[in-house]
Order: sequence, then structure tokens, then C-alpha cells
Amino acid sequence: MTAVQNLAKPKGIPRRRGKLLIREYIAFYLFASPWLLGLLFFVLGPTIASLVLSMTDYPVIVAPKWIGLSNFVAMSHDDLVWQSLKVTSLYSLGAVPLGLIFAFLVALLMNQGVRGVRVYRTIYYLPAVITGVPVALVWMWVLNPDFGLVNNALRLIGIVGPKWLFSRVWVIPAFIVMSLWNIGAPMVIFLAGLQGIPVHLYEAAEIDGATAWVKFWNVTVPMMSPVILFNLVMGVIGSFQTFTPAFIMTNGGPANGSLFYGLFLYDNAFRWFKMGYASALAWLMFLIILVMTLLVFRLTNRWVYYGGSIQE
Amino acid sequence: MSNKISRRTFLKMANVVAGAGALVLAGCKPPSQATTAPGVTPTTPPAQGAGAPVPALLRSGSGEEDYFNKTIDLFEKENPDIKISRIFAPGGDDYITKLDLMIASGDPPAIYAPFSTRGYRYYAAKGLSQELDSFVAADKMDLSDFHPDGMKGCHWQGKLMALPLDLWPHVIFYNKSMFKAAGLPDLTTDWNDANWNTDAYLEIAQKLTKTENGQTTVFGSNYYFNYWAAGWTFGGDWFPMDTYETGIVAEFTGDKDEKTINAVQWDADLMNKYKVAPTPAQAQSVQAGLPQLFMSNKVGMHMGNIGELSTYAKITDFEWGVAAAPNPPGGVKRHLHVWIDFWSMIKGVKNLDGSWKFMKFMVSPEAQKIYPIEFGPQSSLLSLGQYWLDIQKKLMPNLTDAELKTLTEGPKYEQIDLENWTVNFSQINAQALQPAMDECWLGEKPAKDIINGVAPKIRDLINQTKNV
Repeated sequence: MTAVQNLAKPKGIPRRRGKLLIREYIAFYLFASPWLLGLLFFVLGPTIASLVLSMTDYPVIVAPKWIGLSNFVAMSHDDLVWQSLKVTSLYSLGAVPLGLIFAFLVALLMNQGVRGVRVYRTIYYLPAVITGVPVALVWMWVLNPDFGLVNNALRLIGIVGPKWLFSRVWVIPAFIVMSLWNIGAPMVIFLAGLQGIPVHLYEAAEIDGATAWVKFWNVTVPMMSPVILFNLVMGVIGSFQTFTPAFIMTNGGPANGSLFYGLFLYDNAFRWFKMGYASALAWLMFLIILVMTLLVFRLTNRWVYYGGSIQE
Repeated sequence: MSNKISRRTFLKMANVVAGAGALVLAGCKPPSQATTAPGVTPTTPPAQGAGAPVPALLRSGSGEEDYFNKTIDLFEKENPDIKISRIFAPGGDDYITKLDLMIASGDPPAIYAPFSTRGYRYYAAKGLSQELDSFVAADKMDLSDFHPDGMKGCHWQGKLMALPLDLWPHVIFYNKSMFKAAGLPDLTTDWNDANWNTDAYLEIAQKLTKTENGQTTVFGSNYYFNYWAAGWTFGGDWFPMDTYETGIVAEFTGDKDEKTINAVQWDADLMNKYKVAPTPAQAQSVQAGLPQLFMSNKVGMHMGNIGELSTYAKITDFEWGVAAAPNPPGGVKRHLHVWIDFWSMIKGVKNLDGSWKFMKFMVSPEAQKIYPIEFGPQSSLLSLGQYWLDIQKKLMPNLTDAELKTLTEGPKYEQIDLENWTVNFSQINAQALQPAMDECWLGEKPAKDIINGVAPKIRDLINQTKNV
């Protein structure tokens, strides 16, 4: 029982001890207050405010006007909402599985006991440190249809590369390819998971004559399933929040071909100052991410193995 | 042990949460003056807030800071009792964001120029603009020296809400060295030369374009606006002419206007069919970090505004010149575009008298000789026309008198930009017209189909935004 829980039932506590507990109580809240205030003012407060604003017409420079659920009704008729959902879903479907596979494969490589593996780990993680605008600018050049590295490489083998960011068809595949730049963070988590698998499981499998593939499929994958689930959930959430590359590289174009939901929300909030509508969009995004996350948890119940849990 | 929360604890927590929410909502409350009903005329300007600093929202990032600072230094020297707070924001959407947030915070700029995608009429329509008639009358200010096109845009519902700052007409910049090498004569500087039309333009562009190993290395033209103004090239318009009078886009006619459709198609064809102009992807390659595509020495003719003059003055690699824009086919009246900036004031500034004094100074000949003239654009004052010419001649001795005349005459043949002239075009453009233009430049479908396809969306947006 903690000191704070004790305070909930102060009856019968000796006076001196009670004073001590009150001091501890104050100290607890004093030390926790930065986080509590941050939560109240920067998370909970704006969340409540955005819920209220989602039911208003609020162009920021004049007072908000209550319009009930009109923003949500308008969203259902807005072509751009559907377009942005389509773009984001396509990206998510491509980037999340691909990112997981690559991060897992690289983590497997980085888990080998070869010389200089720490250097390799650092090298693979480095791109994750350089994020945002500089990365977007570099990729703009890499993916340039005329002189970009990718198309130049394709030209060497006789392939005329696509227009990437300047094509409605190829702009999302271009962003998916680009998303692999960020596999450093999930790779580190996978690596930590791999290093936590007990060696005796592999030894037992080897005694039974298991091949490398059998060991991977029957030991590594099940033992890693909670980590895969974690990275999957984080990947889905992250992909639905994609903003920076689209904002910097294409601004949603060409012809709304890369109009990510996050960018559309930003445009409404800070470009057209339709703060009420943007708040409604934010709540829809929250609901979508919530449903997606719950869906992932529901679907993964069958294949995620928790060593410490009691199996029914 | 039990983790139940008592009713009292729950109520305490709820109070804290509600309090935080209320604080946040209070923070979102706009300034009191922002709720003033549209069209309310202020009474005689009170001398309140005298001595308070005058916040001026200015543009940075295009090299204009030095000119603004120089102008403001001069004002402060002449008016030691008025201090100007210089607030710089990048142009475009960033400028608008800064402006809106300053208004929302209750500390609006005393003066601002919507150097960007949204004009002062957007704010006037919401009752936020300070009416200036009473100041002009009190000071017996003579407005007759302002360019008539500029003054036309300064009124909202019959009231003076802004004063013109500058004019940015469009002309053709061309690479004289490239013309000489190709054995082509210089382009005409005569805006009324009927032989100088889009057919002639295309012919020259084709002669200038060079290809090596299947890659275009020199483009004859950069003659496309990668935005809605392309629809004006053949003298058509997206909207009825009264849009420019009312300041509100209330109807879309672009899908029924053959000139507009043909103009967009022609612009797209320059890139995709004739391949004499770079696509957006090619433009990125050619420009390769230069401030302007024309400076790459890989573009023969370039449609640009006169604000680019100061940049081109630094070109040493090749000779360049200025020409009139070509005429549309069939002898139709030219209908390109000129951008006009305005100074305007938001209601509720602390030092109203000081703000007006400053605004009046910023449109005076004394201030305009520094900005805009030293920077490049033309002055909004007719009397400074010759002064502007003299300055440009000094900065760019390569330009002939005929070329300089082309620059000054440009606004006569051009239409005023819609973006800072109307209340609602900016949103219509961003949400519907610009994505449709993107489709045209991709060359996947004819312009007619694309424009017809987007027309219902544009009309829908007009209906949502026209009632101000």
C-alpha cells in the first residue's frame, strides 16, 4: 500500500504519523504537478475545447457560432474528406506492413553476432534521428523524375522511371518508399525484443532438429508477437498522422493525389481558419485511430503470445 | 485493495477538469472588437492610446525587410512620439496565419498589407477593417494621385477601407543572348502589336527549345502560370466581370467560357504536347536552387512580374530584355493579370491616431520612393511614375527606354488579381480550382473535361462562401 492510498483512510492514524503523511501527500502533488498541469492545460483542456469547437463555426478572427452537428454533416458530403481518407488509408496499407517487415528484417540482421554490429546498428538508426523538413527536401531531389537518384539508377538498367511526386498514381508509392527511411525506431524495439528471447528455446529446438526457418517461425515469431503488435499499433497511428512530408514536398498535390488527412486538417485549421470544421475533422481522426487500434487488438488476440499470461 | 474513487474525489477531479476547459475556452475567445457587426461606421476617431507603439505587420523573406526598415526609420525620425513595432512574417499563407492569430489574440496590427492569398476585403466583410473616410476627410487628403485601378479596390460596400501600395504587372522577360544565338530578332515592346500573338510566341518557343539524348536541355518558354491565372491567357475569365466590382465571387462561368478553357489547354499543351515549357518536375530540375527559373539560362521566354526585376538585375551570364505579353488569338482583348497590394488597418488598434499617421506616411511619395520603388514594383502614385523609371534605369542600364515603357504600361492591359481583390476566391481556388489546374498540367485529360468536372464543386464552394 502506498502512502497516498493510506491517506484515503486517515481515521485512527496517530497524529504525528498523520502529519507526516500530509507532508508526503503535498510533496507527491508538488512533484507530480508539472505533469498534471501539462495534462490539464495542454492535453485535456484543448481536447475538451476542440470537442466544443467542433460544434461551432469558428473562423478564429470572430467569435465562434454554435451550429450543433452541422460540421459533421458537412464532412460526410465533403469530397476532400473522402479523398484524404482514401490517400491516408492507401498510404497506411502500404507503409505499415512494409515498414514492419523491413524493420524486423534489419533487426534480425543487427542481432547477429558479427564484428562491428554496433556500428551497423548506429548507421541504421541514424536516419531516424534526422527527421522532418531536411529529410523531405532530400527526398524531393532523390525522387526527381529527371535527375533524381532513383530514376537515374532505373535508367541504368533500361527502365524509364515514373514521375513520382509529380504523378497522381505514383505519389503515394513514393511516400511509402520514403517511409522506409524511418524504420530505425521500430528496428531498435524489435532488436530489444529479439535479445529478450531466451536462448534455451532455440537450444531445445536445435536438439529436436529444427532448421533455421522452423526456429524462426516457431520460436522467434511467437516470442516477438507482442513487440510486432506494439510496432503495428504505433505504425497505424503514425501513418494516420502523416503530415510533414506531404506539407513540404507536395502540399497535397498533384491534384489532391497526396492530400493526407493530417494535411487536410491543417489546411482547414491554419490555412482557411475553419477551426470548427478542423476540430470536427480532428475528432473523426481520433475515432478512426481508436477503431483501427481496437480492430488491431481484436484481430491480434489469436496470434499474440504473452509468455507471462495465463492461457485459457 | 479497492481502486474505487469516492464521489467527493470524483467531483473534485471534475471541477479541476472543467476549470481547465473553461480556461482554455476563455483563451480561445476572440477580441471584443472582433464581434462588432459588419458595416458599423466608427465615430470620430478618439485619441485613445496615444503614445502606444504602433504594430505593423510586414513581409519578410523576399529581401524586403531592409526597405521596410529604412522607411520606418525615416518615419520615426520625423515622428519621434510614435514608435513602430516591426513585426515581420513570411509572405503567402504564413503572413495570413500571423495576421489572423494577431487579430484573434486581441492585439491586431495597426497596419498590414495582405501581401498574399487573401485580401483586406476578407476582413472588411467580417467587420474587422477600420474605415478610413473620416481620417481622409479630417486631413483633407488628396486621393487623386493614386492609380485608378488601385483606388477601385480600396472600397468595401462604399467605404474606404484601404489605400493602394504598389502594382506588380506581368511582362515577358526573355534571354536576348539565346535569341541572338538562334538568329531571332528581339521581341516587341509594343503592347498593341497585333502580330505579336500566341501563335508567334509558340513558333519562337519551338525554335529556342533544344533536346539532347531525349532530354530537353533548353526550354523556349516558361509561359505558364501553374495556377488559375492561366485561364486568362486568351482573354477569358473564370467569373463574371461584376465580381471585380462587388469583391465577392458569386458565380462561376469558366466552364462555359471557351476562351478560358482554350487558354488552359494551350498552357498545358506548351508543356505536354509541344514540350517547349518545363513541366513542374522539369522546372524543379532546371531551377536547381536558383531564386528564379529564368536565371538558369535554360529558358528563352518567361512570364513574370516586375518584382523579379531586382533579381534579374544581378544576372551577368547572359543578356536579357523585357517585352509585352503576346495577344490572344482572334484579336481578342488581352486579359493577363496585375497584382495590387494595399495597406489596411484592423479595428481596435490601441494608438489609432498614430496608426493613421503611419499609414498615411507609408503611401506618401517620401515613403514610396523607398518601398516599393527601390525594391522593384511600381508605385501606386501616378506622380512617381517617372521616378520609378529613373530608378530602374539606374539599376538596370541594359534596359532600353522602350522596354521601360513596356513595364510602366503593363497595368493598362491587364486584369486585377482576384486573390486579394475578392472575399472568397482564395478558398475556392485552394479547394477546387488549383487541384483542377494541377490535373491540366499533368496532361491526363483535356482541359475542357477537367474544368467541367470541377465546376459543380466550385459552385458548391461559391454557395458556401458568397454570403458575407
